[in-house]
Amino acid sequence: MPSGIQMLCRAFGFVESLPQGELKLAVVYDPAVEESAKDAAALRDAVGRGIRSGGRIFVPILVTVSEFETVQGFEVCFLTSGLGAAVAKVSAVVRTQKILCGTFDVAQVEAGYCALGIRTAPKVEIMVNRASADATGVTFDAAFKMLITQL
Amino acid sequence: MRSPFLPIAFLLTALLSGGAALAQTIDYGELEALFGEKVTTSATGKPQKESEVPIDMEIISADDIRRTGATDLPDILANYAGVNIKRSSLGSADIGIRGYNTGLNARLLVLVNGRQVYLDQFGYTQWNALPVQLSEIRQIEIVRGPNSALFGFNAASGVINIITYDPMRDDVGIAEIRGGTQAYKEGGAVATVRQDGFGFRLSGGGDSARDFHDDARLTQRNEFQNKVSPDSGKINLDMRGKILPNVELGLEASAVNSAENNLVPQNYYSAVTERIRSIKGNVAASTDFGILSADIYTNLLDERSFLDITSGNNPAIRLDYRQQVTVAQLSDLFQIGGAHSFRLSGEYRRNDVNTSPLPGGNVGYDVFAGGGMWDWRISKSFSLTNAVRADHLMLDRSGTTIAGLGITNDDYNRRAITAFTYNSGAVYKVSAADTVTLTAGRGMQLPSLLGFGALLLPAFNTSGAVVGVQTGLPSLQPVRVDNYELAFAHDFTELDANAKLAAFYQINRNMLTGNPAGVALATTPYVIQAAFLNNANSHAMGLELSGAGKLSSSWHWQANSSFILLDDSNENMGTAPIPGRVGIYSFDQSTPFATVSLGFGYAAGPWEADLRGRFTSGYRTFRNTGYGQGLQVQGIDNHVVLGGRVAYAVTDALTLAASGEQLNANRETLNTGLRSERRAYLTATLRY
Repeated sequence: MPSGIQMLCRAFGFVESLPQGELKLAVVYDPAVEESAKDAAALRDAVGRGIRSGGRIFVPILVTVSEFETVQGFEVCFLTSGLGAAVAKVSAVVRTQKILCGTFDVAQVEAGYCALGIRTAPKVEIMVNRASADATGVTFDAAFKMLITQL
Repeated sequence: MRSPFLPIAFLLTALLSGGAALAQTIDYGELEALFGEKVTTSATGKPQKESEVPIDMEIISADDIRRTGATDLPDILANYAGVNIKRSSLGSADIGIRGYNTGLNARLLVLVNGRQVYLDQFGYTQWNALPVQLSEIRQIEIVRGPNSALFGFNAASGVINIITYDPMRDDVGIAEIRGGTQAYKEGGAVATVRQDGFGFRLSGGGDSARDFHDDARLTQRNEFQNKVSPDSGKINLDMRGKILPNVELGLEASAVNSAENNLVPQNYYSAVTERIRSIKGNVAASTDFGILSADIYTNLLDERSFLDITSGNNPAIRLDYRQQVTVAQLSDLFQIGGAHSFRLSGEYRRNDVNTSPLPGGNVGYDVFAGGGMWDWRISKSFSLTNAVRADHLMLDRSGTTIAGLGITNDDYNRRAITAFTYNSGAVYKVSAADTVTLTAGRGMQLPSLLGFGALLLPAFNTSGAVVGVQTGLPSLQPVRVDNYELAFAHDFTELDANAKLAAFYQINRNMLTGNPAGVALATTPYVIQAAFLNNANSHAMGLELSGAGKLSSSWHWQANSSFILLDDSNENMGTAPIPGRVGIYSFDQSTPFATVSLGFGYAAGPWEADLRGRFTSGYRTFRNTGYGQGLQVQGIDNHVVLGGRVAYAVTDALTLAASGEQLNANRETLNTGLRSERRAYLTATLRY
């Protein structure tokens, strides 16, 4: 059974607007929030040097919320759990820098902070916020779009 | 005849003229890996997860196929709910969905990657003549109930769509040899190659065997004249690649030669040899206007069959048919907003065949069809899908007719049939684990080309003079099948299992049957009879319960049971020749009430072992001891058949397996005709 982050990267494989090759995946966390830090560490341990999905390799780099506002060059970001009000700041960066945002916290997708969310149990369910996707210039494979929930 | 290439040219122009760089066809493997379940387009034409389709569907995986150890598709399909198998011989079996299974079953539409392999001249599927190796099948999609709104005519009781591996996206390299009882010998191989952005999948294989013996029944003509030894040789090439960033081109070509012994609907044998060639082209593109797809294919069949009918000095009658069907399809699948998916489609079909055994005529038809589908995801838990389709068929006939028939070519050329079909489905996810599906659908079964008039079958007296002719009728109506169904599916997450219960009610109008009462169209200069008639209505209701799961990391199970009750409106259908109220087309007598299947599988390290059993309740049919020689009621007792496979992976590349069908009985009467025999096989599989 693939891990959640592997499935998320697999879903990223259906994003048409992403370039091929090695892509930097920002794992955005808040070191002050235990849940968020735990998420980030677990992801780093699970992923190692990168996850291959089709013609892309997603290389995770842990960044704090404050770093995310200043560091550039990420094509994709992952929102850890428990970011709270900081999500709004992250979302603003995502929109400005046209970064694809993914998360397991589908409430962030419903709220429009993140474009793509994935729930893995009891069945895999993928949600895309169309407004967020449009704002960040993200386009999806046409067949994939028909298999997911679009908000 | 209008050129089917014209609309393709228009579509190609549209596709090549622009559109965003998006993906084209669906990547079954990657989507299945992502969602953890099978994905299909056979429900509505739209990609959907198996658990969300607004239709009753079950998908058989490549693993499931391999682990049966079966050598043909009917023995695989027979293990699933609602599916009934009637085997006529080693190389031939009929598959029915939800009852009404007869020799040369016309109610089930069978396709390979959307291309029909259903043969329109008799209206049936010759499973032995499908151009696929079992090892190149990604999945088999079983649709229970009509789906004519997507597939058109003959998707009446159900659809089987066989999906092979994608040459552009899947790597397959398998060679297999197999030997067994009945002098069975089989070899085949599949390989994929990539070159310059194009993928190629080439497969080929052949098999031969001796058919079932039935020495004890020689006197009852079940060892018939002209019996053939079943064999087949098949080759298939499938190519796919991107010709533009947003456009994919696919080409498929296949050739099959095969021979087998079929039971025809009147339950006498027909020894058949076929030569089938097909070619298909497909262009698909993702554009700003949706996923546009254009398909064109043609199937050419040369078939020779010897009917096991004695008549005067003519012990066997030979039918020679050359039948060609050409189909051109266009579709556009698009979304408006995130909640509404639409599919618009158009289709042109040309089908024709010569008359036989009396030659000189040609019967055919053109079909123009248009359809639409609307899938509305009303909320995250509720979706509603409606699909409609109209088919307009124009019959034609040319060439000579027989004296005294009273039916002219003009009667054909004036004959048109317009059929409207629909499929509606509401899917409600009550919870993450529970889904309720309510569906209604109308399907149409077209009379076969023989039924329309390609059959001109003479009867002779003992002096060899023609005393009668059986023929088809241009006035035949399609069979209309209305199906209503309620299904409930539940995932037992804690048990790693799932279960589904479905209840359905079906109305069949204008059932096509033979003409056993011998109603004559004319009596001079000889008796002329219609070979087929719209003879009755029939109702069916049933329950299907199925489930599957894992008991541990090594053990899995699968079980299903189906119960069906039929009621024919015309109790005299075909009863005239036989006392005892069992006629050729007494569907309510000849459909088993219950089938129960149970299977267990074990896999650990290099070992795999699978055992499955199928119980079928008894039913009544009739034995045809030779045309004009009389019919006898035949009871088929309750029976159980066991099948299984044990495999050992010697290395990562080489697997050896022993498998078998009907392991529990040396000879068993499962159907009228030849008694089925135990079969056992040894197989060596090499993966590369």
